[in-house]
Amino acid sequence: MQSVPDPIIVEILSYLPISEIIRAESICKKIKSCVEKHSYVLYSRVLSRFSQESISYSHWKNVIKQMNSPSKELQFLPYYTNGGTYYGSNTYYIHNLVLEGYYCYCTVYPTNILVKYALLGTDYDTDRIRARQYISSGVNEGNDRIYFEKEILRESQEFTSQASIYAVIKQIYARAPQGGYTCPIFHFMCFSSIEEDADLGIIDRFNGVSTIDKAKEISDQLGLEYEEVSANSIRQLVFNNCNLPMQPLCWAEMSEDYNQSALNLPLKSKKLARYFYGLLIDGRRTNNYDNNIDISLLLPKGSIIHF
Amino acid sequence: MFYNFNKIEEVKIRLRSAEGHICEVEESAALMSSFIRSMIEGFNEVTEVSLPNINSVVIEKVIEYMRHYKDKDPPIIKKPIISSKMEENTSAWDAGFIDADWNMVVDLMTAADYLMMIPLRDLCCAKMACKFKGRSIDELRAEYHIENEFPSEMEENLEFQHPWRLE
Repeated sequence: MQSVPDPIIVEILSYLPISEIIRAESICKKIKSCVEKHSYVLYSRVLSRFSQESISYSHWKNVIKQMNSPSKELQFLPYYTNGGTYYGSNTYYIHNLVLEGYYCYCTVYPTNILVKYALLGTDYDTDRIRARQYISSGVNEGNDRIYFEKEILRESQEFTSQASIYAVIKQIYARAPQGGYTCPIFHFMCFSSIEEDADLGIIDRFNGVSTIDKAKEISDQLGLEYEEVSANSIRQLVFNNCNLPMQPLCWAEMSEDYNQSALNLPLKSKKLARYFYGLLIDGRRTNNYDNNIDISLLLPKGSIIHF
Repeated sequence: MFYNFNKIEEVKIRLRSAEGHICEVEESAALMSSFIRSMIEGFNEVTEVSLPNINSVVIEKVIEYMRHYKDKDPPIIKKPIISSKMEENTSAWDAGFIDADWNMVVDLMTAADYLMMIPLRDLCCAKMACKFKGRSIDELRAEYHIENEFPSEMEENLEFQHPWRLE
């Protein structure tokens, strides 16, 4: 290693994931010195995604530490749905998607429902979220196709941009209702973006995609890279990072098995995000009368980065 | 009269190794090296290039690579690599070509750098990165005979700052 010139060491390290570059620093002084001298080059591919031009080496190390901290639920709050709310009731409101409990988000419409979430960045305050449920119940959005809670969005945007906060999404957690609901979630997809105005066109392409083969076909047409994984004994897709502002995260199928109503899907690559999107493709109909979608939880897990 | 164009002898470039051995390569293949290209374009009728810091074994290996990619572009290896196995990061041919010991890869990489063959240099760098990927610090130090140069306090500090580095 001592005989390898510094520029070559930097080039070798540039092929490693960031966490392994940090690990490599501990091998010997020569590598550590190379990383310190050329940290901007080594980390540029990540820095550009944070819209950061340059940060100090020690600050960067702290960011890396945050990126690799253990996964926990991320503070994303749903603020939009085009699927309506069953009976217009706050009992079935979209905020249930991030709250543990018996109640679900129950839609009015049966397919291709887009739910948008914004990163709040503070620790979960479930009372505050529940309080919002009551505020929102004052708005009869059940029969409206589009509901948009501007206040939550504005608040989260002010907070995340002032504090320069990003989420690093590492896994997706979803749960179907375990009983008492007639149309449990069957297929869904997740996406993320850093900007709020990311093009939703890519999401629309997956409307109605209820088989893994069809999901692969559309992904191939769009040039998306993905991997097939197994979760709950069902084939699922997780997507690699792509160059689009709107990043697909996963395509998933929920199990019919009552004991496998929860799905924990680790992603192959970490995704930076301030916005999270759930495309609820369809539900599993259990009778001939109800035709909508019921879902208990849909949320990303990962870590938060403060610049 | 039938004239077989295939029989026209292509100009050969003679590469003189550190030991003074001559290795011959077709000019069209040798042009993959920006260094040799600049020699040929800069000095008309150059047919011999001296490479005093590259041994003949490495030159033969470089020539193998030049000939394989004479008429096509080498695959681009994505950063970061996705696996510690080269065949999962690049083509089967590239993975087989670079399946060599550490010293050979270092020599090849140094030669590629000198000859200004960026795709070959990148292949070597990716191969070396594969040797790092997923290995513990202690394993790497043992394999490459690197002594622990960090005082124990510094080791502890590194472990405190980045506990996952040893995962």
